Amino acid sequence: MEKGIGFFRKRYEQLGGKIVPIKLKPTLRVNILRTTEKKLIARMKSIGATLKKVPFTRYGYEVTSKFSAGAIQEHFLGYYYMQEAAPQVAVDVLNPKSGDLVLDCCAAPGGKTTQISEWMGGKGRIIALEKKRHRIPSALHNLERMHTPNVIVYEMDAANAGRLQLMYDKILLDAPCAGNYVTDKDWFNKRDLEGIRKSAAIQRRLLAEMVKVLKPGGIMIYSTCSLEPEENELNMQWLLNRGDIKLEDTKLKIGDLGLTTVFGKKLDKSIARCRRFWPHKTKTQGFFIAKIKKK
Amino acid sequence: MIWDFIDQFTKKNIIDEKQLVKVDRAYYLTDPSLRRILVNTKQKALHAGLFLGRDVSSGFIPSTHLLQLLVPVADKTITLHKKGAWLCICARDIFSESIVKSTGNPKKGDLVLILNEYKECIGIGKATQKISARGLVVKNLLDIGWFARKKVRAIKL
Repeated sequence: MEKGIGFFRKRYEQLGGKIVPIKLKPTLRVNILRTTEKKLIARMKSIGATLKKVPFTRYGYEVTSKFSAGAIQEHFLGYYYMQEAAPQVAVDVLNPKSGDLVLDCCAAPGGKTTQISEWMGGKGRIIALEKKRHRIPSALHNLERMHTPNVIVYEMDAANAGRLQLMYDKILLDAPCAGNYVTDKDWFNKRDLEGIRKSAAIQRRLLAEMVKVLKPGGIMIYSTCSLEPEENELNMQWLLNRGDIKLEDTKLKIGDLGLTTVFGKKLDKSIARCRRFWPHKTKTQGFFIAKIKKK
Repeated sequence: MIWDFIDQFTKKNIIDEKQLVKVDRAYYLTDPSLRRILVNTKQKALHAGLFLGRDVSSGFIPSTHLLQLLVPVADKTITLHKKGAWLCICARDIFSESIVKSTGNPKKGDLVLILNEYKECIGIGKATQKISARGLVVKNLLDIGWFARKKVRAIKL
């Protein structure tokens, strides 16, 4: 049976990983459109919270406090976003600029949308798509809370992004995926290989559409919070086989290189430019990131 | 209705009308480059720039950004101490002992901006009696704690 903790343990061992329980610390991202790191650190200290910089992020901090950092004025006023450290690197690598037209494909609840806006200094244009109607209110709440000025939100499946008839300088495809055992304690009971393969097929459909709407020379970041190669390296091989993109170095100093051999199958060497976050090494949730450039 | 709402606090013009866009019942500040996308794209947008608030059947619900725009120009404000601010964002009404400062001499029935010690707007209230009186002096109409409660009341206009 292709499910259960025993099945996945063997799988991860073949891929160079292992299953180790990780307790994530609460982490936030400073909203640099509303405050500065120095001001927020001082403000949080005054109410008994300490912030410790997460070294591989631009504005990420671990929070230590006796209260929930999501339940105080500073959070409601939009001075920060509670966001785990690993996902923060996606927008760091995307590196959006103020003149860009950026697409955020699966936007809700808006963590990366608001982050893209901050990196752009609140200028430029961001199109945020969300397919699931029940997730849209959370995205709108966060855009309001963070005072995000330059986003248009559409209820739309990113697989139909071409209907907007826009071509993008940069695209963030933080794809719906199977998730990982760090963020879901019940993960091994819920997931099986068949489900992962279905998820990978959906991701390929999204990747194909994104390449269509990306300008030549444009950059797309593909990220998942999955450890499964079907959703990660094998999808990158599929994309490379199309011939219209290449993979670039993420320049991240954290995470393992993308796998170029998966269960005995040799993949393109350029997949090593991707990064894979094994929780037992990075002390984060599982994560995968690829930087894709359209030829 | 956004103008009626702003009028409750100030006669000053705090919104750049050239950038004001209304999508359904929601108001946004939208710069020209975003506006071009809105106009040219046939798809209906759910959000279109810097959110200022929305009309509802019972009144108007301001965004937190609009509340902060009002701070430097509002005619009537009250400033709360730390504990009072905490109670306010837990949807509690304001007692006089929580108020460290007030401006504009609010009287019964006046709408006031509720500020914290950092002069940030954390809510809107209605004076139930003179601020200098004892006991409950400002009814909490709306506070930023709604982001946790996911419920907000409209300001009746």
